[in-house]
Amino acid sequence: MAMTELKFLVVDDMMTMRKIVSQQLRAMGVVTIEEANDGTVAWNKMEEAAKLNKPFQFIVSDWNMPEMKGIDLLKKARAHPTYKTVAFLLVTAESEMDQVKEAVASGVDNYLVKPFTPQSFQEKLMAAYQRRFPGK
Amino acid sequence: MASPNFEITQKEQVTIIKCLKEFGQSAADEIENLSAEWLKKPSKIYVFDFQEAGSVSNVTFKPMATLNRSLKKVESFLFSINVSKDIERQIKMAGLDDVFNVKTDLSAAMAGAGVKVAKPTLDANFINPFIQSTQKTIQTQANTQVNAGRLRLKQPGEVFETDIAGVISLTSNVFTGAIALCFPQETFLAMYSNMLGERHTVITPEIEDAAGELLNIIFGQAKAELNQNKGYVIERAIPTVVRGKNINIHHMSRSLSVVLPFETSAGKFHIEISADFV
Repeated sequence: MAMTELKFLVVDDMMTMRKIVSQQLRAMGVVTIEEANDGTVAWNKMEEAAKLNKPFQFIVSDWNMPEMKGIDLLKKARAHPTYKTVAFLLVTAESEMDQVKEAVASGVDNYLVKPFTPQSFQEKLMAAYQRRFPGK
Repeated sequence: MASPNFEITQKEQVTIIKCLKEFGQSAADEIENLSAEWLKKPSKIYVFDFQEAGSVSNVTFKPMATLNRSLKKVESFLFSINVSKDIERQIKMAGLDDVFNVKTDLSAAMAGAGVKVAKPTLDANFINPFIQSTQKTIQTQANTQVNAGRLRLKQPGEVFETDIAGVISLTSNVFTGAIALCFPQETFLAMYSNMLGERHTVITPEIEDAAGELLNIIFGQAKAELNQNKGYVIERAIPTVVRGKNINIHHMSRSLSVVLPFETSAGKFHIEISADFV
């Protein structure tokens, strides 16, 4: 399946950053995008979508959020039968090495440090996509 | 997997174990499990933070003593901080002073292990990462060229034209303080337009979080540089946004505050940083 046909969930507590990410996804041709302002809200949406057999196929999540953090959302996803292989990109202002290591150990597909240009966003997104959908 | 008893953070040479509830049987069992994990690749220092512990049960003494003994063998250290008088008395009565190794705070614990901690001042070493990360963030994320002005001290009672500000509390091993990213309305709206291509004539709740997000990114970049390369242990934080006409950022700080002015094609803005050093 082409990346533009996937169902995306954008998770960030900051509306501005959700807008930036969604805007850049639309510019790449992605059509189906939902947003959540926290990891907990995102997880509820993900479970609901899984129950309806219309799961999200690509999660783009911030790390640092007040309720459930992006890293915890990632860990929950990897432990869930529907989401254990979902494409997952962490977008974060945190660039310290121990955090990158934790994200990799938890099964993230790629890691994008803010601030980012549209080009670096697309590169990281594509790399995460190709990791989950090899040969596409 | 999330720990039921502890919030554990690891930074460089230090592992901080914040006790979230009573230090009892469940905690004792978890320490035994964690000890095995920790000893595979030990940190230099393990600090148990008892701020929220409430009470300590005697059943924790054995696993703590075992952990302390094991850590000594690999030349690591165990300390306890934020210990209440009652808990400290209990530790003393059990003759376990050398096991719990009570210190006043993290800084004292690190000093006890012989770890050199950067002693910060509001000097170039501390400030420059904020200047660099501000330029990088505004140029990259807000697509706006930035020139840094001359750093100076904020004078008592001095007020700048500020209609919106993102504010983050700074917490670290050796200081507390705050950083504020302050914009006049016109600058903020022009920068927002550069960032998202949307034009607004006034700041509304829908767009105000951009001040917090820009500061969040500036802070994240500067924190990484200070923590990884300059010996600080600054903790993660979430920004808040304040809005109003000519806001005065009043720092409840005993030390001086500095002002970093910036000029951009979108207009002027500035950053204020204050810190109280331990």
